[in-house]
Amino acid sequence: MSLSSLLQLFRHSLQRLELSLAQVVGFDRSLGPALAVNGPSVLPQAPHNSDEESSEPSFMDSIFWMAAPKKRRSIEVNRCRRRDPDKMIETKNNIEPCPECGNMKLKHVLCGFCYEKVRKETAMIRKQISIMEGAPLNTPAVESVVLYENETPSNADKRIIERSRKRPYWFKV
Amino acid sequence: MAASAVTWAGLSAFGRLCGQINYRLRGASSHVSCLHTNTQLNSKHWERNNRVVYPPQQKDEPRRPAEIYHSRRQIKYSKDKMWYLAKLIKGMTVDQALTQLEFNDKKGAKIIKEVLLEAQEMAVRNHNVEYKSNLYLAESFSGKGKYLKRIRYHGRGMFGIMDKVNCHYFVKLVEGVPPKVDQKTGFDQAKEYVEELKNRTIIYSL
Repeated sequence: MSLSSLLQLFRHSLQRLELSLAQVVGFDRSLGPALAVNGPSVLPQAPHNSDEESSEPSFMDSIFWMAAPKKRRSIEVNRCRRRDPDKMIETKNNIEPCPECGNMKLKHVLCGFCYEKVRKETAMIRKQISIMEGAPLNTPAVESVVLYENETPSNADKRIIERSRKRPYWFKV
Repeated sequence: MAASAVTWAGLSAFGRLCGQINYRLRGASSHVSCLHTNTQLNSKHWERNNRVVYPPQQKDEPRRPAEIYHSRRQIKYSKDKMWYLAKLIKGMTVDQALTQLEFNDKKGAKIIKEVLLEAQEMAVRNHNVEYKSNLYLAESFSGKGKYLKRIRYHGRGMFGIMDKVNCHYFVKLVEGVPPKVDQKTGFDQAKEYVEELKNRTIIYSL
């Protein structure tokens, strides 16, 4: 059996499989002019020989020049490649405890916990600002200052943003 | 009368049901005789190791360290990718493993961290571990879960079958200080191999 006829057979069987799958799903291509015979609903494919032969040589030529593995790689060879030290994950030795909160942090990066707590407070301040301004692009051309509970503003003309909680220990005056 | 609607047959059936429940509960905790004592539908082998009950130790025996087996099944991740993380933390103390996983960018790192925290909590709550930091990872590995198969469409009417991969992750925590493992270099291993080859003899020879 030559390779081309094998490929044709495989292609035909694939098409037949696709058609049968389509029939199952409900795409009935042969709904129009159908045979008035009670038989298998999958019509046999008419061989499109004229079409295939023109495209076959280009397809055939390309597969002869493609790289393909000669032998199956054994599990030992595969393990040597997958487990060599370059591919393994290295333990990080630049982790240290944060002096403020005690959670671990990388040496050259801000502590995640402390950053998160500052971010949450900043979000509340920003919400307050948006309530004060009302609409976008209403920011006054003055400095702003955030005042917490029981704090009096100093005599400077700054916009005051009030937060109804006590001052966080990390937000120095 | 409506009050005495409970028939004799109903009572006996209820009694049998009680007996069955009792038998099931007692049977589940017995680990004495045969191999297939009681396999419930949803208990897998790794978790069953937690139910092992040893006989009480003698006074002169060294204290047996507590072992905690935990796993997570059908994680949507590849077993090969998970293996790298499992190999990273194997043999470390629990705290060290947690810090390494926290600063790792892989998807499996977050999942393994959750599993380790669960196991640590289980250890303190159920397995009589005194200090939650006094645990180390004796075993940590990944396994293949059940795959789903899908069609991947190629050109020219060709198709491939795509696997939607899942993996399991298993961990065994042991109480105590992790044992020191000597890191053998490749050169040492090669030397040992050559020694083994040199020590070969021909059997049944003079």
